[in-house]
Amino acid sequence: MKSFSPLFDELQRALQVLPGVGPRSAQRMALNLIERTPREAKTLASVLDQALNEIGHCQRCYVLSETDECQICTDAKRDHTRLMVVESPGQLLAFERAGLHDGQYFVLNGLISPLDGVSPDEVRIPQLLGRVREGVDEVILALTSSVEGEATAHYIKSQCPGITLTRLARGIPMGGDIEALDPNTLELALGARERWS
Amino acid sequence: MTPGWVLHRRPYRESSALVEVLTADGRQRGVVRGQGKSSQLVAFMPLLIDWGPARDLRSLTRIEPMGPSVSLSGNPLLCGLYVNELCVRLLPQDEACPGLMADYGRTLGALRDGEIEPALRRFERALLAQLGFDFSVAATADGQPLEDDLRYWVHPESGPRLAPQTAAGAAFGRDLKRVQAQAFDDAGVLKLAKRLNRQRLNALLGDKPLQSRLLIQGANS
Ligand SMILES: [Zn+2]
Repeated sequence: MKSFSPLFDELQRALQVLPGVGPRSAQRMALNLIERTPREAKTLASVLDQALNEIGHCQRCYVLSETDECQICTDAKRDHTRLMVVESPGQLLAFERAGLHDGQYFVLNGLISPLDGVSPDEVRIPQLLGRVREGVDEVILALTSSVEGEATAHYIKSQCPGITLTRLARGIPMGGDIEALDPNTLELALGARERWS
Repeated sequence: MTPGWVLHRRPYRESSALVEVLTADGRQRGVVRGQGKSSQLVAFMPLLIDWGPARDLRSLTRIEPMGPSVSLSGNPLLCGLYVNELCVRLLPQDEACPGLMADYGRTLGALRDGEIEPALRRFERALLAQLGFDFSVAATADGQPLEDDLRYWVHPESGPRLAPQTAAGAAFGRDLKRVQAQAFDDAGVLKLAKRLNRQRLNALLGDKPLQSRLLIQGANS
């Protein structure tokens, strides 16, 4: 197919950076932005540009922040002695939405994965250890239940002697159909069964 | 369906995963499509596989777990990752390795039961044998049987050579024979086996260090 506008092609290619967007939906988006909503598209372009320039990481917990320290870290009402470790900003948001944790956070940059070449340094373990050394009573590991999550939890534990570490329970999700669960989840849930009477 | 073990899974595109598996036909890789199907595949899981038609990247059209993955945690888990990284780094793709699957399964069982070091040394030997690197350390490079009380140097790519009897780092013949027989009841022999295996593995691995080995060292330091 002959190209009618090289810039349009470039926009279409650029949009494919978004998760779940292939060539066809990128084309639809590009047409929509230019033909139907040019004003909103301009806003999108300027907000995106500004966001990229101004959003950085909180120097204490590494969540996205426009200031050196985020609102959670500077909130005096939160319990500074309970630190929850998550592996992405999205997971922090999930806990904040649920309003379940009134302590502080530390956001790792993913999980340690030797077979993918991801080392402790790359996921901010040294920064986490620095934060823990500032003084905490409890470190809550809220990591994905996976081989990499387990490896990361074990490595953190090995570097935190004398610190109280806790981790989230693993097993059957709410509303989860037992029939449809994989053998690993079943094994975990059975292993973590609790006395009922 | 073909039996295999999951060595590694990494996310691929939106809802698929790229998996490395160990089967009798070798280390093989393919795509598993669909979030539900791909997310239940985890390292150390035994499974049955149906492969799609051979292309650049084959897909695993049907998979059936043969049970939960061997559940490892703590240091044994890191050791399991070490075993998997060795397989992924050193086994050529699609080159048959009929005996190795059984060795692999035995190794995971031993790691789970806490019998770590001897199990790792046996697996390293089995892997080296599969790669054609399993020459004997019970006889010298020119075929002479070792003397129990003499000391020998072992080069990673050839057999033992007689060393000056005061040489530091040279091993006694009797210890080398026990390494060859995998008689690991002695801590010193186990350590020697570790050193000899490591020399050979390092010769095959080249300059890129094993991430899992660094991780184990970091966790135990
Ligand atoms: Zn913060």
